Amino acid sequence: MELNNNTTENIIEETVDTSIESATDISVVDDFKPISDGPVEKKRLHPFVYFLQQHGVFYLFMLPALLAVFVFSYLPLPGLIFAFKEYSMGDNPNFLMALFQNDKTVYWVGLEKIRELFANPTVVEAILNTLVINGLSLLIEFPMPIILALLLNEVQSMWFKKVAQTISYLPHFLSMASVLVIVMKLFSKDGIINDFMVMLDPSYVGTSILADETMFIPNYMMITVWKGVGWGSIIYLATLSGVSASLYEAAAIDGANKFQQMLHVTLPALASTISLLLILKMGSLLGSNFELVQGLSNPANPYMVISTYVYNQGLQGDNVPGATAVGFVQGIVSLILVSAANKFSKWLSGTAIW
Amino acid sequence: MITKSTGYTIFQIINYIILSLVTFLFLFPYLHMLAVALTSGDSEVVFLIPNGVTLANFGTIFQDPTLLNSAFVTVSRVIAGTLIAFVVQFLAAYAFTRKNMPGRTQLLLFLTLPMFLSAGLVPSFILMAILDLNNTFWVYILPTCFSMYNMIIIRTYIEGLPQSLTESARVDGASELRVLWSIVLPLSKPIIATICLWLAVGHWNDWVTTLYYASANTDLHTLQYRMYLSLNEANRIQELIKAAAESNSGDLESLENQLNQLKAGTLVAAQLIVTTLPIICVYPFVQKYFVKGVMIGSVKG
Repeated sequence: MELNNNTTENIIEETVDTSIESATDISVVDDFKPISDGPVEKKRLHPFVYFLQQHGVFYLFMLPALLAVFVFSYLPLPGLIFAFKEYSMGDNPNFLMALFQNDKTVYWVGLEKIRELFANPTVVEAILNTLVINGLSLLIEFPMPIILALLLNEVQSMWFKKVAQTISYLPHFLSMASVLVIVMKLFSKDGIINDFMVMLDPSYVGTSILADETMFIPNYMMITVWKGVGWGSIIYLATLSGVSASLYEAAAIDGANKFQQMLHVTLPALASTISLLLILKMGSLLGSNFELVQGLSNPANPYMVISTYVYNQGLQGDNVPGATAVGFVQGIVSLILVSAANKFSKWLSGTAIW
Repeated sequence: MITKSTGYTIFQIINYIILSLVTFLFLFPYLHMLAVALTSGDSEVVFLIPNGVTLANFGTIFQDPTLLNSAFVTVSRVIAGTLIAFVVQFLAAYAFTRKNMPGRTQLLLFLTLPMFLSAGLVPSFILMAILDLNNTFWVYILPTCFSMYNMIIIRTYIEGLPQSLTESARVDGASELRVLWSIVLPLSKPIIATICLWLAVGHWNDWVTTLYYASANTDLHTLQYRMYLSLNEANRIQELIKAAAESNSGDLESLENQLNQLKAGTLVAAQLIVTTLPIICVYPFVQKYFVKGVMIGSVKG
């Protein structure tokens, strides 16, 4: 036992903390050897007891979180084994057994399942669809909050700004399921959109917009923009409110008009926020809005992305290995993407997540 | 001085017009649904004004005992889920404000890693099956009870509190629990409001958990999950009608009635209003707490 350091700190008066009583119950009192240079009256504690007194309660505070993360984030990891095994839920409904089993029904196939993925046209299509949707949303959905923030920033009337902002948050507080119910009502054959079209052009024949395959991506974009633009603008507006007015004044004195001020003062002020959010977005290039795609695709208009493929194969169908393999590949690629985007941003602007 | 040119004035006017239009677009779909919900089933096009206001649709949907059960499940999970998650996250956040704890960095890393490494849906589902959590109430509460993002926000807030207060309490002999209860918690009210509201809205709006882990247990269907189900309701009822017609059972008429009402959309609209109104009524008054959370989170990354 190294008691030489901090000897005086290790001495704690009994009166300070009542929890000492319970702590001394532990049979470490035997180790108690008085050291002559310490104050004689004070009782010295075993380092471990002292340690517990100092920090024990804080470890206790962390415990629920550590347990929750261990169980629900780390314990699923062994399940990835199924990406390398031949397995059917129908034959072996007991997952725990199947994890360790290696016989006729459950056996190792190595990288076979992952190789199969890229030969499977459905998976390839799902991956392509995911990339298309994410690429387009980078082009369309991502700039919208910035534009809204710039417009709102020019509003002089405070109450108008406040009301407009509050209303723009409304869709954020609706669940995707509720939003889709609204969309279904608006876009159905006898919904308000078709009525409106008929009003403009009486020869127009109403169609079910959600069943139209060419309309899936426009619908998707419209819904994500509608739902997220107001909320997304918060972060930009906050950055803008921090821009010193003197910068604008200086620009104005130098002869910059409002548009030039926006280009040379406002946008640079937003640059670091934009790049940070772009990194986050890059990391989810293979992720997809499961709720929206699952709810928006229907028998007449089936659209598959990676996450809905995983759900349909792994949870609905009996293809645990295939679905696990897709998830596995997606996880690895996403990790690479995030770290690459992070590195890139660090190099470019000095802003990074870690 | 910023001089106002005519060009800028014109821009201002156009800006107000655009923003008014955009604001209207945010509001309109919801108001339209409200109007539909207040309309009796067999009327023509409703824009924003219901023809003949009636609460009959709400009466009809509340006759369904499963809806009341869903409402009960939803409210229970909001309360239990918010409470448990808040306690877990707040305690952890408070513990991690202690800079000199041995192993602190490693434990923090342990909590952070899953943000970047996740096993995916199927392994999670398998774990739930092994733990026997599928189709139980706890699947709503436990898996999401910790959130690194929330913890960082709470920790940042607590770290901003004046250290002298907690130190002086410790010097006065207060136990750590007492310091937490009497000093830190009362000072953290704004962040408590933020996190609890976040958690509550998250629980209220979640339907994917039901879809993944509890869809087989109809007693656990939440209001939001019913919304998702109603997306495919027309198909489902049509199938029921087909089945009823084949077996010649007496339900046929009521099923066809249901289908007609469904086509008018009034019942679904009424359900939507029931499902969303609590949040829509509350959010304008509590949004500042949400915004505050976004700010703290963005500063800390």
